[in-house]
Amino acid sequence: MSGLVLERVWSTPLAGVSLELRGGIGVVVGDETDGTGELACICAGVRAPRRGRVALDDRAPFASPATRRSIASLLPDETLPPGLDVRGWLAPLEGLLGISAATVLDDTKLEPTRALAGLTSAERRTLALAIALAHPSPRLVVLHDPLASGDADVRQRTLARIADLGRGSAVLVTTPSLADARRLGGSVYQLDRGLLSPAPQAAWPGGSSAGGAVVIDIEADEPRALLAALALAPTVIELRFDETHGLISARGAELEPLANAIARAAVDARTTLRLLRPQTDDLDAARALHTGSLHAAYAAARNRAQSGVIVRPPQGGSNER
Amino acid sequence: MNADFREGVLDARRALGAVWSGTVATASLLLLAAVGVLEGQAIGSGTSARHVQLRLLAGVAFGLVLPLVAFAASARVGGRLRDLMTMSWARYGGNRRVFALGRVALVALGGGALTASIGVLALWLGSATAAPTLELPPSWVNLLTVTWVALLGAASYTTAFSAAHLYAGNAGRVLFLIADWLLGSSTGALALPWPRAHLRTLLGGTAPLSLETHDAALCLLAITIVATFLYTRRLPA
Repeated sequence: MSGLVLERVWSTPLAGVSLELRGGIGVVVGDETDGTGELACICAGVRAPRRGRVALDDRAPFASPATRRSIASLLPDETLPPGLDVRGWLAPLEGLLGISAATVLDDTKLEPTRALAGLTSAERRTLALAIALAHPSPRLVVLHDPLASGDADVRQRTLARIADLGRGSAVLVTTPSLADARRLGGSVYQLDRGLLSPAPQAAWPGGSSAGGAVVIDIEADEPRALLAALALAPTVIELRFDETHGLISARGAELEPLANAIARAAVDARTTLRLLRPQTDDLDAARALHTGSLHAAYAAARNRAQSGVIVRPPQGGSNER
Repeated sequence: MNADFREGVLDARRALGAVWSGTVATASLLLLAAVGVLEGQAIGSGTSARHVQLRLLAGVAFGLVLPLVAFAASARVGGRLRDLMTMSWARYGGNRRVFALGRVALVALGGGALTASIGVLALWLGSATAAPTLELPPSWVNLLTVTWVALLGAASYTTAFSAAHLYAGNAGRVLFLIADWLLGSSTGALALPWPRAHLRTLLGGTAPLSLETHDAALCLLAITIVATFLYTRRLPA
């Protein structure tokens, strides 16, 4: 069986990442600042690690064109050559990868005559994802946040195709979303500030639910407007407002949907979030929340809200836009 | 033609674009015309007419247009390691080295063709502005010489700029241009690694270390080969 091997790979921000994926689906959860994008690029062969060894069937993807031909990939940033339309770009790839341009066009619903330069970032990623999923016989599939865009049907089809590919080859998915990791199944690893958890976890730890209900304290520039917007979110079970300190407490069943709801409410209320702090009495749950899962949930919420929400991580991190 | 090489050529053509190429060619022509008109006013004898021809050739076509066009084209096409690593064709399994060489080849060919055209025009301008009695007709030998020198010079400049870009980014290209200008204008041993010194020799100027003309051609060829070797060595397949 084909296999992807990473041995003590260093490449900013990855810090000595080791991973072995012989087959099936492996999901790495973490934000892009944790190094998920870099990991996907290294595995896809578009970047060489600064130190360490990366190999697919004993050949380095970045140095072997034949190996790269057998990798289906979706990268964090999909750049396409200028001056071409969609059909003109797909034509040479048919010969190179053995994909069907008609299938890709059908999946993406893109006009064949659309100029690549005119595609939005989401459309470029959709096109790259369709190319990756149309690969007839990949030895490795590397997908960065494949469920981030598209409607429910598209996500369902993507999930089904990934599961299908996982039966015959190694599939590595990187995502900031805990919910997506659970949907994808397989072995789940956590990438936190460049450090990969040493062993896969069959199920995500309790940080995502923190022992049942999750409460997040929020400070915002316009707390009343945010409160009004949060009141409309069905995910939010309970709301409290401490008028003296301007502190809102939102309760929900799970962390990620709650974080999504807060992000959307902040967009609707056109307010800037100054603080997001989880409440929990359980020390383990608190640690799990603070070591990445909350950051990942915020990142997922931020990506999907697709707007200028400013989220300040709870542990002295920098502002993220 | 190899598919990777062909895709590299096409990619460079798209990156340069018709508008950019046309603008550069027009600017080069205008520069030559302006200098030609200014220099033409000083022509009074056959010798001075030949000097004007030489100044247009060595000064404008090969001294200014060729290095600056190669410099600008290398910036336009882009060639940082990170960019070349993520090029779509190579990402999907094309040979990155052959693809990149295709890109360099088109830039070299385009730069060579433009310089040869400017050089031929410089010869013609020198002949046209000289009085008929000065007997300075265009010669086929001169035209062929200018063409092959332009192609060789463009190849050496383009490969050198590409290698400098790959190893040291934009700073590398800028430093190469400055060093070529400063050191290549000298006649000592320090002038040897720079194309400017050898192009000057081929056009009848002072040779570094009193080298022969054919040695200058060999030096340009050596610069091209070494730069290409370093370029492909740095870039993973």
